[in-house]
Amino acid sequence: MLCDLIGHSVDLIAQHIDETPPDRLAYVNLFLCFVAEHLRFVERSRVAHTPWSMIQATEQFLARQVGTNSHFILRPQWSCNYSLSGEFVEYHRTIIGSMPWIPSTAWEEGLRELELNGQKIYCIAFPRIERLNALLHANWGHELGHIIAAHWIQDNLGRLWAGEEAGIKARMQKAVEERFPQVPDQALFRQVVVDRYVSDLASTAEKATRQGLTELICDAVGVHLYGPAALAASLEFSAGLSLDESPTDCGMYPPWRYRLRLMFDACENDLVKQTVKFGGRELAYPRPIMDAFCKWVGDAKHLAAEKSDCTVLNQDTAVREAYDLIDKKWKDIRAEALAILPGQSQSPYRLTERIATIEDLVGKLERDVPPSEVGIWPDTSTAFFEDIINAAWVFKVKKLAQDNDWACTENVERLYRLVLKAIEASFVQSAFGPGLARLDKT
Amino acid sequence: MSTITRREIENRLKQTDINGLVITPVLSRRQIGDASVDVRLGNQFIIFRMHTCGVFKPYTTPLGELHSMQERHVVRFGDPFVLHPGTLALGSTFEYICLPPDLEAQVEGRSSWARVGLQIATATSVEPGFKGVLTLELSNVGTIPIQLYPGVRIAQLFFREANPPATNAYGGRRKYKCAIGPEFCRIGSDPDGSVFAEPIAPDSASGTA
Repeated sequence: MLCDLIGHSVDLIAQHIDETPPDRLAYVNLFLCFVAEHLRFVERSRVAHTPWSMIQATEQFLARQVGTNSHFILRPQWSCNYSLSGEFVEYHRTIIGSMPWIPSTAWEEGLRELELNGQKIYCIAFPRIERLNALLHANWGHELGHIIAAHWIQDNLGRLWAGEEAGIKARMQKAVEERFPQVPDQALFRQVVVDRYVSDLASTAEKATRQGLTELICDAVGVHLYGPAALAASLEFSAGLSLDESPTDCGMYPPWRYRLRLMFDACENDLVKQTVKFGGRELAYPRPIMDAFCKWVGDAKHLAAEKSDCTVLNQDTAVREAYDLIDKKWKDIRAEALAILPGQSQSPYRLTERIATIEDLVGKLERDVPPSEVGIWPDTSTAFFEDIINAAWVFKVKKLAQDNDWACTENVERLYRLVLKAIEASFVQSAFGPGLARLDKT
Repeated sequence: MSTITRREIENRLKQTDINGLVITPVLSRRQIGDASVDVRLGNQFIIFRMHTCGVFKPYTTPLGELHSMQERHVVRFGDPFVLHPGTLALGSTFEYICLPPDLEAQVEGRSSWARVGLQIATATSVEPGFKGVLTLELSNVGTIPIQLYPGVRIAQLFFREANPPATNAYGGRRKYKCAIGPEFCRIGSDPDGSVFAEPIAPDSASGTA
């Protein structure tokens, strides 16, 4: 699909190259360089470089959250990070639209012929070195969150900022006047300088708010869809990183400690001891099989309980204003953002509601069986993608709690293989199972 | 040692203890026959890159070089894999299988496929305690290319009781354990193989007639 799109745009550029103004050739060349990089996305998404067993299942899962007209390319990258690029159809539309010598109607017509009209193409990159680590790929929920976050930002950030801007600027002005009482002394000149400082600070605060909310909404979507598995994946991912880096030092990203705190809050119900009603019975939670996992995640909560990130956030006037605003509005923002998800995904994933399933799936992993089905043949049901990932985390932490040496390559790779197989089998069952079941009845 | 039939197969599938038989997922009840279980084709294949190798020397070819002679190929479910005449591809069952210590399995091709020239498996015996998908040696000995869709019923498993049950069934360091796709050849890890690949020392040939 992406190749078709690229081919279509490049064909049009080639057809109209003689009409291209000479001073715009560099611009065209720049676009072609970007496009060449996008072709590499496609090339690297070939199966040999990806966790192939979970590709179709992941594509289906992601499309279910943002619409079946959304298509995802999953590719490895050498950088040890996850990222989302796109949406590519709109990107090409914008770029071709900025080349007035190419008739946009021709481009749109070609798009219709390719049946790409109304389609959306994204690319999710994952760390090459963690290719088979299906447990860590719970972070794909965060990347999907970028699509949701972009919607929320586009529709709401302007309104939110407009409502707060005057107050923010007033506090900034006060701070600037207190900090620079000595410059300059002419009243008129002084006001111009102060205004410029305030304007710069407000702009930084807006950027910090925008980027901060983007990442926090993404985290919220990840935890909403995958539950504690998303939190566990974030804990693992952030283990080697600074938890208290100032947004101004890292592309306006929120500090990891702040992010983890909000993720803990979202999962809190799954991490505390309680009695849950299940199948008409009252059961103590966490169940013995989940005990180690809940304890591990609970122990990690002390990371979030420390407030050293808040000290860092308070050191910068603009960042402090951004995070004061986020603190004040986060509950509503989170609810609004999650409401963008489709109806079937409105309920958050709760481990407390999946007790029997998780126990069953962990039991299968204990026997080296892929956890793709719940129950015993013939009374089985297909395990959900989210349940498989959560069961895998529960199993992994349980084994580590029993024996710290369990984490040898052989055991960890076996777990990855079983989880990948389970995800694939679960996808095939959901895609082809109903048709086969109908045949069974005839 | 007798072949177990449908009722016993079903009983074993329902057991979750050490004697239980795991075949997961069984997508259709039609897969279970009177004395066998049909298994489906997985979507991963290993194909040979003939242009990159001279000769395969099992005990001296380094594993890395072997991997350069073979290539893993994955077909999306819903897309076909075409096996051309005279070619060999390693495929695997879609089902993941765990055999208890007292059952061994035999893999047989389905006659419907054999009639178009498709041979399914040559290493047909599966030992008690095996866990994983089964690698299938797919070979087209016919004259026309064959289109294979992942998910189609490709082979049958027959189960026989092993008496007495194997102790430490498939334990220890095995070459092909908990596989989820076809496995590359690892014959080089046979500890005794290289013995026969070395010249016979003159002083070791005593005791002959």
